[in-house]
Amino acid sequence: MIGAPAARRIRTQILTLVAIVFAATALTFAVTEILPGDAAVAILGDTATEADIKSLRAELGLERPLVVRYADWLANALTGDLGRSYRTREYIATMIGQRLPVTIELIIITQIIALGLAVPAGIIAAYRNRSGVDHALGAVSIGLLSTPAFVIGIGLIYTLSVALGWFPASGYVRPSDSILGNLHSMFLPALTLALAEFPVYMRLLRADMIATLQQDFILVARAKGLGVRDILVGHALRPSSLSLVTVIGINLGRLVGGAVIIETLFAIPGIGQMLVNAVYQHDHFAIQGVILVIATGFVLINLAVDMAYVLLDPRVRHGVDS
Amino acid sequence: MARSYPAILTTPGIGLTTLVAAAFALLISADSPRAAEPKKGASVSINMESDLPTLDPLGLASFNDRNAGLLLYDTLLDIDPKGNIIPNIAERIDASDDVMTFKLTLRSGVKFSDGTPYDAAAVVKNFQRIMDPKNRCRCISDLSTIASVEATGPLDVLIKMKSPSAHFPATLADVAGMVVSPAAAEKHGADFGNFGIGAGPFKLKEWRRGAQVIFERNPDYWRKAPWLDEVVLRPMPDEQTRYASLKAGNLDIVVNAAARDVLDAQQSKKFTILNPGSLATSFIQINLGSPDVSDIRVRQALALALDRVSLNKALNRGVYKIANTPFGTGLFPHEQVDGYPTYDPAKAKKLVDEYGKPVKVKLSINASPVNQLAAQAVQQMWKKVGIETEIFPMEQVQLVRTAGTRDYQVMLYRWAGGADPDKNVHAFFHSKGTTNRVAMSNPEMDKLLDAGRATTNQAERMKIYRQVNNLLAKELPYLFLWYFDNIALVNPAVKGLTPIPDGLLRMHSVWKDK
Repeated sequence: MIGAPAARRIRTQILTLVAIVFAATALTFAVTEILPGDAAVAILGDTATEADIKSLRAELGLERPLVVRYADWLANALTGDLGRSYRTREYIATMIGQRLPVTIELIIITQIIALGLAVPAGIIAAYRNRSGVDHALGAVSIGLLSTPAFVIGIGLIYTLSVALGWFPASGYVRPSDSILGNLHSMFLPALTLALAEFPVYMRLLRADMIATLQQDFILVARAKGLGVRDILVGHALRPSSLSLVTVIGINLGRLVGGAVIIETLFAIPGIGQMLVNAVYQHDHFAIQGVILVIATGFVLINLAVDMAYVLLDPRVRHGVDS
Repeated sequence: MARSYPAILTTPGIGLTTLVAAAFALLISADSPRAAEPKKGASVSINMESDLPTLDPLGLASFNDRNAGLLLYDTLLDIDPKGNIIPNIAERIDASDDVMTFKLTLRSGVKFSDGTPYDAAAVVKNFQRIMDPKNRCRCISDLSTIASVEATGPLDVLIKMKSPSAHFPATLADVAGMVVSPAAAEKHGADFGNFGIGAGPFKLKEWRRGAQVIFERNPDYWRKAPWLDEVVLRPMPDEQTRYASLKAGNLDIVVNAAARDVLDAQQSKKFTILNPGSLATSFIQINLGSPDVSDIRVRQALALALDRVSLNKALNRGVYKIANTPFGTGLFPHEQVDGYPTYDPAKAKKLVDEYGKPVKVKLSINASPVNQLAAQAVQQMWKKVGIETEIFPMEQVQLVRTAGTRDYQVMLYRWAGGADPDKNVHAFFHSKGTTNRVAMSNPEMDKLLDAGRATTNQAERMKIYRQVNNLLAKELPYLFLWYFDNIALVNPAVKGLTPIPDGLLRMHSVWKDK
């Protein structure tokens, strides 16, 4: 059962969602306006005359004041109409519909790989605190943490793809064509992103786990003669995973940022690549659409994280102050 | 008006045989002597910088777009490996003596991939379509001298000009020569860009937005049907990924390869290097209307201080050729110049001293890493002769805008070039040029540029463009850097590619040895 304080939190979150999405889209609109050059120049290219540019600006409605254009966009967006791309005339909603599942899949596989590596590593590092294994894992995570994702990506392409030929160096296979092919094409980009997430998850779990392992109930469990595995996975993991869950949530947002780079590097047709192209082409409606989706997604994820607390920690559920 | 039409092209019969012979000679030279017979089948993948904006010629402009356009539409005329205009779907083009009228004769029996006839009516409709200002064809500036277009027979089109236009045939070897099926254009209206129905060697099979565009063989192509089943264009924004994908076997052709990768490919000897030469150059353009650089001594000093050989070595691993004219290897006035300034820092310093005032220039560049490096190197070279440089990096759209409004002093820039010399100079240096970004206003230049359009006699045009080159070397609105070769790196199993100086790939003759 969800207690009153928790329900209040969730209500506040929903109100925040609306405010954040509004603020994010308004800010993006203003920022894209500051960008020098505009869609008319991007569309017409370098042989266009001033008169051509002016007439296209008028046709695209770019001559109207910023506030009017934003209000117009917002009113349409509220009815589900995100407009059409200046460049390709595609409907933005369709473009996002095609590309969002790709990015979501990439992020899910990334999280699975990152957690699949970080949880066992974190547990071992905590259990063997200050041992050689712990130090080695610490060194690896510092190394990964200080390497930008695209460098890891290029390293993986050259080793696993060019040298060993295990994975394609770039490209995307649709799941409707081949599920295995799809996973095969997604593995390298997901691994690249996962290796950047791994150190954070691992260090966080390790720290919380070390604290948990010093608590009385663990002592009791040991005294009862439970095995190491039972104590670590059965008793210590859940109470140690609160910060991890929070960070997984926050990182989902960060991963969208990572996807921008990784999708560009691996030529994956997700919303990250769409955003990059839209920025280069001054395709305002496409930028707005992607930002709207990312902002909404980010807030919803935070909401979900809050709900997850309720399930994980009885203190939150009952509104008890620890 | 003169009614005689001295053919500026060879007669149809000769034209075709020479074309076939040229293609054949290239096939032999490109492959080993015991080259296998072409095989039907297979798919060839080629990278693009980003996804196509449309399949409608109205919106095709970039190198990528035009590569896709050649697959779907082919062109009325084409250029050969030396840059000469040759027949294609039009089997001949004849110019009147005064270069005010062109007669285009189409090949008979050509059909669009939707089965409708490719005839004079279709060509006229296409001209009307691309010249309608409402349609905003990026090719429209190429057609500004056209007065009227009419069909004078089922396969004959008569084009009248407002002013002499010797450069016109080259226009038809590019986007303006990509003719769409009028029936399909009418049927699909504004959505035609999703279908792209033409008479090219391939037709659209599937467009997976952001991932790949798949083209399949057009069995009714006017030449022999292509060998390949499919050509796949893949948007790959990252340069390193392209070459890595070629190495890993996920990609067959890297177009516009980076100098670093060209060098690596030369050393590894694992790939075919296709260097078709170039049509144009990279350069530093100077706004002649801005302070300090409006003085010829300052421009001379800027030119003399540039050690272009070292710059090319450092930035491009020496892969490109130093340029002294705006005409690439595929244009006849290439390097036809006297006295373009060569590196002489002592002389440059003397000129700066002579000028007397301290010189500080603002250098606008595209913010890509390689351009940043180039700008810093240039900054050091100019500093050595006493010229201070402030670098203004910006993104491409802003750079184009800044150039267009002449809101700059000096700028690192590049022009892809056209298949006729006129296309690299008239719009840029004529006082009435639509893209005269350097604010050049020189009566002698205007006279020369107009004269270059008024004759089809190549010897005469050579003389004219040599004078243009000499005048550019004297006035220095451009500091030339290097010819930008459109080098492609190719999987050695891919055969039959002809190197054409515009760098675009003619895929109809290509096959893959599996």
